[in-house]
Amino acid sequence: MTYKVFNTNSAGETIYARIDDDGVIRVTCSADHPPFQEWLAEGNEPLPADD
Amino acid sequence: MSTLKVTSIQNPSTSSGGVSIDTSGHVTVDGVAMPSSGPLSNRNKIINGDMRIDQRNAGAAVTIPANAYTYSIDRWFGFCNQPSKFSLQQNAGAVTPPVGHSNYLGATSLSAYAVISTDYFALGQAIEGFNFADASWGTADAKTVTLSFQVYSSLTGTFGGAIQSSNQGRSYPFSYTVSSANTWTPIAITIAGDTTGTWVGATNGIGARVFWSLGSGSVQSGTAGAWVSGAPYSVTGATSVVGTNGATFYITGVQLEVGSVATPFEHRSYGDELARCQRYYYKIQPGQYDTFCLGYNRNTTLCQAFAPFPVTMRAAPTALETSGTASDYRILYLITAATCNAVPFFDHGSTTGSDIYFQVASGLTAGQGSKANSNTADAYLAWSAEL
Repeated sequence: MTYKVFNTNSAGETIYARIDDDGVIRVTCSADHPPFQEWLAEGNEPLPADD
Repeated sequence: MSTLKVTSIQNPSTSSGGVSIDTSGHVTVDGVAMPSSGPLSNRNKIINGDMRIDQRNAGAAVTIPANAYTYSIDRWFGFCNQPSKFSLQQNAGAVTPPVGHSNYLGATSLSAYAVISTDYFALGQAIEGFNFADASWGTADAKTVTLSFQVYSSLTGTFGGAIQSSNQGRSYPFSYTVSSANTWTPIAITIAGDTTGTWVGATNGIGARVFWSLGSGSVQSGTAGAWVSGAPYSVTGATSVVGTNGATFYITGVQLEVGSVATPFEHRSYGDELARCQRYYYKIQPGQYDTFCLGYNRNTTLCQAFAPFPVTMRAAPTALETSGTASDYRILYLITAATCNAVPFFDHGSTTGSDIYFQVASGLTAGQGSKANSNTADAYLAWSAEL
């Protein structure tokens, strides 16, 4: 499981997508989403947005 | 004034029923225990204690990963430090529930794992502070509570669990005995309120956590029947469910109430219980070609829609869950149905609703209204505000 930059919301803030082990995006979240924060705290960094 | 000292009151023509009073002053009316404290209704601090509501998984099994509360049926999580040692599932094994119940939560061991000292495997529920503050724990007025449930296991012996504070600085390990395998056994455990420690009180944080252990190492276990510092999940020497491949542990009729008496399980209406669950998790799955929510087109490819929540959530959600398949979703505008080319994604949320983006390749007109629909029966949107 990893996260990537997915899009921006109506306030211009970054929205992230969680990419599950099967490659499917089932969750999109804001930067303050607790599981995303925990993932960052483990030293991970989100992948960049798709071109 | 005078006091009538009797232990029972019955009609002269009957030999059972009536009113009985035990040596602690607890009253039973026609065989039904009356509360020793608190109100007559809304007594149960456990939500979905009869395991009816399963918005997330609709009865499918969930294998529990390590180090994260992972939800099975609504409000009930699995928690452990070693992945994939057990699963949780509504009505696992399809046994007959105890009388008066239609569902249960089933844990199944997925291997024969030898628990080491630091291991813990449990199922449990976190209770919101707003719903637990009346117990007054952490104060001199801390009230006694009673935990009751029905349990069914392929194993026999002494089992363990614990009730813990939000910061896991205080814990009360409890034990109970299952004497007959594969038989529903009623359990009641009375717990004196904790007069010390840090308990969050009336907030939307965790008021208390209740765990039923499925295996705990010595470091994670304590002595039953007393408050301790730290966070043991079980009692020393308790039965390990995860230690036997295929072992089962089923539970239902869970009630945690103020008072020293286990009163009958409080059956609530389905709508009431669902609404209580939706404060923590809300899922819309309308079926094929039905409506999620309404919105407007921001440009030629994006529709911004708003989904109101039926219940004020505990906290503003920070994520949106979907099926993961873009083509499960579509946008209706004018007389056109356009299949999405990306999964719907989160914009922002509040406790009362969430904005979502639906995206198509082209064709929308900025400023026009659109309807966000399901293209298949698999399509869903869900938000979590779990503790």
